[in-house]
Amino acid sequence: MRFLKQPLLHFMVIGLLLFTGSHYLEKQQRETIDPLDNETVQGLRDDWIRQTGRLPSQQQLNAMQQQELESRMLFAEALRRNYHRDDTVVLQRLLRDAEFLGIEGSDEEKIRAAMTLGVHLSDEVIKRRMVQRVERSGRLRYIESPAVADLQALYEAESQRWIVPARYSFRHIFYSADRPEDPQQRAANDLANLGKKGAVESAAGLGDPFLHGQELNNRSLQDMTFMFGAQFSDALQLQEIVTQEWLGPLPSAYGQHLLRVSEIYPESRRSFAEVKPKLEQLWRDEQERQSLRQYIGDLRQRYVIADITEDQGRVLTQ
Amino acid sequence: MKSGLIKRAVWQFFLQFLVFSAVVQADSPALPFERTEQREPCQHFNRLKIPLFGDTHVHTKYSLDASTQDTRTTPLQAYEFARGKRIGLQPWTETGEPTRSLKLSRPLDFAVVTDHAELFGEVSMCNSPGMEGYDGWQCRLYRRWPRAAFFLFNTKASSGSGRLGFCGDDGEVCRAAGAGPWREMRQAAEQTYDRSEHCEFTSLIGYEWTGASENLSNLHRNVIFRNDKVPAVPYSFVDEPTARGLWTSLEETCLDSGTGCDALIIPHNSNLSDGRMFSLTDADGEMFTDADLAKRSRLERLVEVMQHKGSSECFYGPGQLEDELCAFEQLPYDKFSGKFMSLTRSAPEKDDGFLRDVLNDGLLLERERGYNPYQMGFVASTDTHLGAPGAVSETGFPGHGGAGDPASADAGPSFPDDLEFNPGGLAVVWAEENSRDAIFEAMQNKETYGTSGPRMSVRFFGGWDLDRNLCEAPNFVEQSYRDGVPMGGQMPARPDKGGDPRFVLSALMDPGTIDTPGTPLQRMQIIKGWIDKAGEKHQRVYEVAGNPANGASVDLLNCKRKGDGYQRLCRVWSDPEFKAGEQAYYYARVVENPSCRWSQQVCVANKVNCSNPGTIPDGLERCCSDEHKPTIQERAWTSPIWYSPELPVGQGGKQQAALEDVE
Repeated sequence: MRFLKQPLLHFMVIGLLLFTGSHYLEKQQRETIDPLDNETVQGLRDDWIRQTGRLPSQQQLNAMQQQELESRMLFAEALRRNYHRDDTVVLQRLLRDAEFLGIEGSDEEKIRAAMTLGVHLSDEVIKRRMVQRVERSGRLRYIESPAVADLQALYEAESQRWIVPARYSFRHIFYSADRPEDPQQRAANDLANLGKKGAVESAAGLGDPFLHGQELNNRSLQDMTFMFGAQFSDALQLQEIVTQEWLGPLPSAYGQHLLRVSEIYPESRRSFAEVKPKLEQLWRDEQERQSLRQYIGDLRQRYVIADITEDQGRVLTQ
Repeated sequence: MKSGLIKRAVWQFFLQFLVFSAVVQADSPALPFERTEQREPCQHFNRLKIPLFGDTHVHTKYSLDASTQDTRTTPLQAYEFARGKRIGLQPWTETGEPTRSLKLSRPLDFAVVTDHAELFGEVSMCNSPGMEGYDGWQCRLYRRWPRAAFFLFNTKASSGSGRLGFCGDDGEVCRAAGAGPWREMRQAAEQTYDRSEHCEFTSLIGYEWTGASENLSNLHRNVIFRNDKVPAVPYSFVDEPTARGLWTSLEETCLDSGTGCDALIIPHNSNLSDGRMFSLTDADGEMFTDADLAKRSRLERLVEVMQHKGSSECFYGPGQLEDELCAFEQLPYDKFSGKFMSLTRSAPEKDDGFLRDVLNDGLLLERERGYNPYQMGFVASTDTHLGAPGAVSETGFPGHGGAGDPASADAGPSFPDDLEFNPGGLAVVWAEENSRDAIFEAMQNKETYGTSGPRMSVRFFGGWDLDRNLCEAPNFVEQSYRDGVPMGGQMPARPDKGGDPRFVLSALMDPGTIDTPGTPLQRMQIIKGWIDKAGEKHQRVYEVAGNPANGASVDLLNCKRKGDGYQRLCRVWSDPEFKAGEQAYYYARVVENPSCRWSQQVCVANKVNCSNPGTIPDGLERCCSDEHKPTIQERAWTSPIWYSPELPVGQGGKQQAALEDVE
C-alpha cells in the first residue's frame, strides 16, 4: 500500500490522465477555418482574370474559395503536427527571418523569438513548405502496391503509349526550290534517267547538297515531318515503298526529293517487361492522387470550414 | 560427367565471349564520345551529327516561385510534356482539375528540369504583384530596403561555420531537407529517359543555383549533369553564396570525386546582372584568382543567349543606328529588382553583361592572363515556370508562370504576361545520337546554337582550307569536319603559308507544322568581335547571305506575313579585315522574315486596330503604345568560333603549362 502513496506514482498517473485527456479533447475539438476576407477573395478573382483573361463565374469563384480554405486547413493541420518545429527548411527560414529582424542570441533563441512573434504564420515560404509536407503525407497514407494483374490491365488500357512507330533508313536526292529550274521537273528527269532500280553509285552527283546529308537512318514519319515538313511525310505515306528502289519526287518545305528506302523497321510495341517500371509509376501516381483526396476528406471531418458567403462573391462579380 | 562439365564450361566461355564481343562491337567502333552509362546504342547514330532540339531551363512545382503561382506540374509531368503529353495549367477547380491545358505541337528531343536548389523563390515572389506573399512584411521590406533584404535572404549566419550554425557543423542537416525533391527529380529523369535503341528522348538531371549579388543583380546559373551519377544533394546558393563556392563544390563533389559524375554550368540572364555575371569580382567582393577562373572555364561551357526574360546577345541603345536587330526582346531594365523598385531601376547599358561584349572581355583576359574564361557556346531556353519545356510558340502564349499584371477591377481582355517578356527559346545541340553522353559532350564542345523558338537548322564551320565551293558540295558536312572546326571550336594554328580564315554557314528554315508553316529566312550574318593591337574592343556585323531589304512584312490587322524569303541559305565567307596578330571570335545569326509577336497576336485576337481608337478595349491600351513592338524577327545564334594568334589553354597552346602551374 505504501506503493500507492508514492509521489512518483501520483505524478505518473496524473501525467497519463492529462496526456490521454488532452489527446481525447484534441480529437474531439473541431478546429474552425475562418471565412476568407474580401481582400483575399478579390485577390483570387484577380489571379483568375490574369491567368484566363476572363471573369470567373460564381461557381468558379466559389471553387477557388473552397480551394483556398482547403489550403488553409492543410496549413492548420501542419501546425497541429508541429511541422514548424521540426522541419529543417522552416527552421532555417525562421532563423533568417529572426536575423533580419535583428533578434540576438543563439540559433535556438532566435527561432523561438521568431515563433513568438508569429513569423511562421505569415511567412509564405514557410506556409507553402508546410502545406507541401502535409500533402505529401496525405499522398502516402492510403496507397497499395499493385498486383501484376493490375499492371497488366494498365498496360492494355494505355496500349497506345507503348507503340514504337515504323522507321525507315533511306538515301535521298534533294532538288532545291530556290534554283531557277523547276525542282519537280529536275527530279522527274533524273528519276527517268536513273530508273527505279538505279544503283546508288549512279545517283552520286545528282541534285543539290542538303544540310542534313543524303543518308538518314532509322527515322520515323514524325522525324521526317520535323526535318522536311509535313508535306514530305504525308506524300511518303501514300507511296507504296519497295526497298532498294527509287521513288518520288516527294515535296518538302525546301524543294523536291527522290528517295531510296534501304530498310523498313515495322511498327512494334514495347513489351510489358520493358515498360513495367513506367506502369508502376503510373499506378502509384493515381494511388497517390486518390489517397490525397481521401485524406483531405478525412481532414474535413476534423475541421469546420466556414461556408462560402455567396453574397461576398456576388458583390465582387458585379 | 566430367566431360559434361568441361563442355558446359567451354560453352559458357564461348557464349560469354560472344556476348562480350557483341557489347564491344556495339559500342566500340570508335565512338566519338565516351559512353559513361549503361544503355543500348542508338539505331539512328550518325557520325555527321543531327540537330537535337531541347530546353535546358525548366521550373516545376518544386520551385516555390512557380508553386506560389499555383503551378502543379511535377518534374515527371514536365519531362512527359517535353515528349508530347498534355499538362494541365492553373487555375484549378475544386477537385484539382485544370481549367487550361497545354501540349507541344512538336515534342522535344531532350529537356532538363532545373528547379531552384534553394527550394524557395522569394525574389520572384516579392517582385510579382498579385503573387501570394507579395504584400507580406518581408516583401515590403525587401522592396524598400533591398540592401538589408540581401542579408535576410542571402547572407551567411554569424556562426562562422560558413553555413547557418543550426544546420550542423557540415551543413548536412539543412542539405538533407532538400533531398526529397532532389530524389524525385532524379527519378523523374530516369523514368522518362529512353535507354532503348530507339533513343526517343533524353532527360538530363539539373538544378538552378539562384545566386544574386549584393545589389540584387542576377547571377543565376543552371547546373547540368552528364548522367545519373550526381551529388547527393544540389549545392545551392544557401550553401555558398559565391560563384567560386559553386565551382569548387562541383569540382569536389562531382568532377573530381571519382564517382563518374560530370557537370557543366549555364549562366543565364546576364542582361539582368548589371555587369556582374561576368565581372572579375565575386558576390562577396573578393577578386577571382587565376585558379578560380580556371574552374570557371572548366565548368561554364555554355551561356543562355535568350529566354523568357529577354535577350542577352547585344546591347541596343536609344537612337542606335547600327545593328538594330539588337533591340530584339531587350528588357527595359538591367536588374530584375528594377522592374518594381524605382530606386534601383536603371536602363540597360552596353557594359551590363551583353554577351557580344563579354566575349570580347574574354579575349582581353586571354591577352592579359594567357587564357580565356569566357569561351562559352550559346543556347537559348524558356525558363518556364509552368513546367512546360519547349512551349515557345508566340501563338497562345499562356504567360511565363501566370505572372502577368493583376487585372483591373472590371475584367476584359488582357495580356497573359508583362509586355516585356516573351515565350523564350530553344537549345539545339549537334550530336551523333540522342543520348545523355552524346548531348553532354556536344554541350561541352559547344557545338550548340540557340533559337528564339523556331526550329531552323544551322551549320557553321571555320577553317583555313575550307573549299570555296562547299555550298555546292553534296558532302559539305563531311568536308567541313575534315578541313575545319564546327561552331564552338577554336581555329587551329594558322598554317605557315598564311591565309585568311574561311567560314561556311548553311541554314534551313523551320519547316513548321501542318497548322503553322515555318517562316522563311530573310538573311544570315556573321558577327565578329576582336581586340586590336592597342587592346581596344571592336565588333562588326557582316551581311553574308539573303537580303535584309527583301521587303517582307506583317499585316498588323491579321498577323499574316507578306513577302518572300529563303527556304535555305548557304555561303562560304572569308573575313576581309582579318589581321593575323589580333584575337577574334565569329558567330552567326540566322534571321527569319518578320512575324507577329505574341502580344500582337493577343491584340489581333481582340480586333485591335490602332488607327481606330474605338477598337481598343480597356486592358489592351498598350497594344498601341510606343513600348509595344508588334513584330519580331525570330532568329538563331550559333556558338562562336575563336581565333587566337597563340592557341589558348586546352588547345595544345603554350599557355597550358602556365595554367597547370596555377592549378
